Amino acid sequence: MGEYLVEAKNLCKYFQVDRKRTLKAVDHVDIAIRRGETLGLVGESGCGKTTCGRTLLHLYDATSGEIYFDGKEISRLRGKELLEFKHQAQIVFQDPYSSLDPRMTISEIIAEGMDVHLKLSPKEKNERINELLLAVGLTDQFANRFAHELSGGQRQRVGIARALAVDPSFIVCDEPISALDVSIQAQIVNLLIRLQRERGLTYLFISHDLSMVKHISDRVGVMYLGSMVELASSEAIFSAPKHPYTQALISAIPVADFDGEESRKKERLEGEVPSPIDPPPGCRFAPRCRYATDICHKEMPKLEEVERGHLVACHHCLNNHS
Amino acid sequence: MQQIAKEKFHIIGIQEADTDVIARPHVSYWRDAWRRFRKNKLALTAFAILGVLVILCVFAPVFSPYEYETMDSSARLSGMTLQHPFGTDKLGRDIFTRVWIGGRVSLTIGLVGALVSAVIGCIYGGIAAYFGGMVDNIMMRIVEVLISVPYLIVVILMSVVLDSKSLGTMLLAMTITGWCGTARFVRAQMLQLKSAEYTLAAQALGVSPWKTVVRHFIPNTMGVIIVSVTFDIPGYIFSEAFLSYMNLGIQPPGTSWGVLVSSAQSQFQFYPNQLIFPALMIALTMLCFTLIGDGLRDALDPKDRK
Amino acid sequence: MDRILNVENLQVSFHTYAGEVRAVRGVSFELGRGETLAFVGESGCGKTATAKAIMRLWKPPFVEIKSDSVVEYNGEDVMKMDKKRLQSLRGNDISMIFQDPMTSLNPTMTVGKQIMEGLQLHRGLNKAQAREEAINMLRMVKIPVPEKNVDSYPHQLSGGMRQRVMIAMALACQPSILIADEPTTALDVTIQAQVLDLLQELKTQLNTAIILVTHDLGVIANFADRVQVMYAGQVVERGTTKEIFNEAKHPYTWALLNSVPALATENKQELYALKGTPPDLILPLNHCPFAARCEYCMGICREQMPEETTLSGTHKVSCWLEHPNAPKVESFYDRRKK
Repeated sequence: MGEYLVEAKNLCKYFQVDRKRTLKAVDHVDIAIRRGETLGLVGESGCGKTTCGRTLLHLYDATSGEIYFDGKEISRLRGKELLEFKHQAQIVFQDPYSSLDPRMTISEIIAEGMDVHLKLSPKEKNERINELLLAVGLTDQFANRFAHELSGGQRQRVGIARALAVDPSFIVCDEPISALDVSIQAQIVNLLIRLQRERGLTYLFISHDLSMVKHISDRVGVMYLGSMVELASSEAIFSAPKHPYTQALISAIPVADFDGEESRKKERLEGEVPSPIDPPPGCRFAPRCRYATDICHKEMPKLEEVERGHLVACHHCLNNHS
Repeated sequence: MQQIAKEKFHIIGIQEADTDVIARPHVSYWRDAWRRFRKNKLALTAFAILGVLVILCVFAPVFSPYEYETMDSSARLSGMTLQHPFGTDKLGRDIFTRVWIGGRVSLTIGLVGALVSAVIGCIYGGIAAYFGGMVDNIMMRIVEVLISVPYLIVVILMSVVLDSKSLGTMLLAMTITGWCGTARFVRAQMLQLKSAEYTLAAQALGVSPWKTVVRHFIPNTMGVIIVSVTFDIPGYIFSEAFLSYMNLGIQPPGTSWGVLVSSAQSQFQFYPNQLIFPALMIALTMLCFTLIGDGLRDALDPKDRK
Repeated sequence: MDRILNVENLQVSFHTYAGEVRAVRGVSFELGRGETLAFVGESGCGKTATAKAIMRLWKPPFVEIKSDSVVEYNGEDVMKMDKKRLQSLRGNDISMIFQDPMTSLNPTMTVGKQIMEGLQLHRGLNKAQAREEAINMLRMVKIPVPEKNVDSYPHQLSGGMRQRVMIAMALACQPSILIADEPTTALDVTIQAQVLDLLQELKTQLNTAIILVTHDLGVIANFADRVQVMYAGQVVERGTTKEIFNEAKHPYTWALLNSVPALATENKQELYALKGTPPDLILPLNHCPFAARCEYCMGICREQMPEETTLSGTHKVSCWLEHPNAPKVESFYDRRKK
């Protein structure tokens, strides 16, 4: 068994907008997720983090690049082996309203994956459904309800139970808390952390909420317009961000702390994220970057290790500009 | 401040039983739809009227003392009398009986036509949407070609080629292009569902394409398809009436509402009763189906469920 | 303080098939000129319903504002205004911006035209003047090249730009109150920071009072003068921002403050999470609405509605823990220090 459960090399996912234009949603990204860890993936909308997660699960076909799961290249998997991969890798979606089929009862939703992967008798199936409902903090009174009768937090628990039903080892959590209220967000994050501890799960946690990502992740990757700009342990990313984009992102988080607020240095980004359709060469962040020089507009920087376990893609990050 | 017993101020904390109870009653989709439909008085009335019409079509000719094709030269061109509530035509046939017999034909054409085109349209549109890409492209171009052929030409060609003007020929002629609209509509619906997150979840779970269609796509499009079928029925009824009126439809001694209207029109100025009753039936049936369709749309549309 | 808005015992009900949902249950507050008041709470707590009721944006019969509710703008009873006065109130005196700018911008009209509409209607400017003013407004909200963008359609602009246009439209007639309903929720963090900075700047520039409806405590800490914490259609605690963040007394406020991980907390440590979900507002409530989820719940909490206790001129809380007979509990601040 290798150190990494999921490994993607040079992963690209392009969408053809029309004959001439290409949307580069994910552009040469390397990701490696260790067994049992949580890798956080942050970035603003349109940065490709969701596409990246879905491509890793083979829900989208990668344009180029390789994805290894447990040492096996997944794009070559067929039939039984592909099914086995789906048994191992699952996803939890952002919108608890559109991710549950409105015509199915909660128990039918949870049973969907079990029917495919586990051959269970009806009695065993029922027991397992109740077990899963309890594991995610619901009771069996929900089993025969429809999704629209549940609150957002309860629906998200059902979404997690559906993923857990097939006993996966890897779960992509695609913005699982963004659509929920603050107090419910904490419930779901606690649930995810507890399940990880109990079942030894590996997570890819995608979110734009930096404080939650920091809280749940061991390592964090920051994406900007389809490329990974920084990857480091979650402490390092928040205490000593090296990429100018990461720095701006962190200083933009509104902190719910009255006294600390005024003392915190504010760094504001000018302008908005440009379109990911046919981006110009060079560093993607260069047009908004205050440190940008000629080389930034010409050449795309590579993601390089600047400190142990701290990778940055920036031409200038070695000159200490923070 | 009021006096409150001291023991009321012991902290008891959270009692598990209190949290996460569902306050609202359990309502399934179809029951909820029925509840909304019931509230729509107009649709309900239309439903009742249609029910009466159907019952009359089925049973009235059975209990009527006259046969619909029996001519009675002694009672030609009778007005509305007790013996002949709707009068008789120029051959002395009882119009009351003929209207209900004609109703059988008209309603059959409406229902069967709409159902057949819904089934074909669903399968066709579903396949196009599911496979997407090139398949979808080619299939939809075919539909566009078919839609652009005027259906009158198709009907005339059919009756010439098959050399018959029976009920079956007419159904065939009308459904041969009639399903195209449904196919387009179903395709659009399915495309929407295809990008829904629960379809993606099913894909991630490794659910087979066939099961995804049966479990997710069909139940979720059922409501809108039912509505669309209901709205299609009056179209078929009217087409039949129109074709029969143009003498392209049912031939004597068979009858339908269209045939009745057509044969009554020459004596319209003297015997308006011959025209009014079948015309009224056509209008009433079409109106009822449209109103029911409206009611169903409001009842089945999941968008504004509360 | 110069009082500009006074709301007393506001009650809003939604009539649904399952019964009457009492979304706002007797909310009272006042707003001073140029002040920023924040409504904070979770979805369904009645914060948006309250905000919309102030402008009487709810339409009967499905939504009902109870007749004994009082809303006074500058001493004038909003509930009794006729159609014409109401129309001039919306826009001239009070205006609103929404979470999703796309739903309130007309997609078939250029943004300039949409701003000009209000200017021509409420301020009686002619076309050329209105256009000039619209360009000025766009410049004020920092839209790049306003002379050109005045002629663009909403779909040509990005989310952050649309929200700026919305702000420009809302402020075009210099209203004395701006109601901002989750103005930055749909935006990315870096854009959110830009928009909040802009609102802050305009507020001091124009002396507009702002009612900020949000669920994000971080936004409030940056922005508001006073905060009103809402739960299940009621105000459970109110105070200055400093009082709410540093001396909160209501267990629900504690829970809210606690459920956001501070950047300093240790990783993967269990977050403080409220159990359960807020009560369904279709149910009658004759005791503290938070009782079922409160870890300090006492017998009395399940029997009677607590009264509002005044702690300081600005700080008020509705909780039985403030009763003299209630035990002293270790508050969230004491716990956090450990």
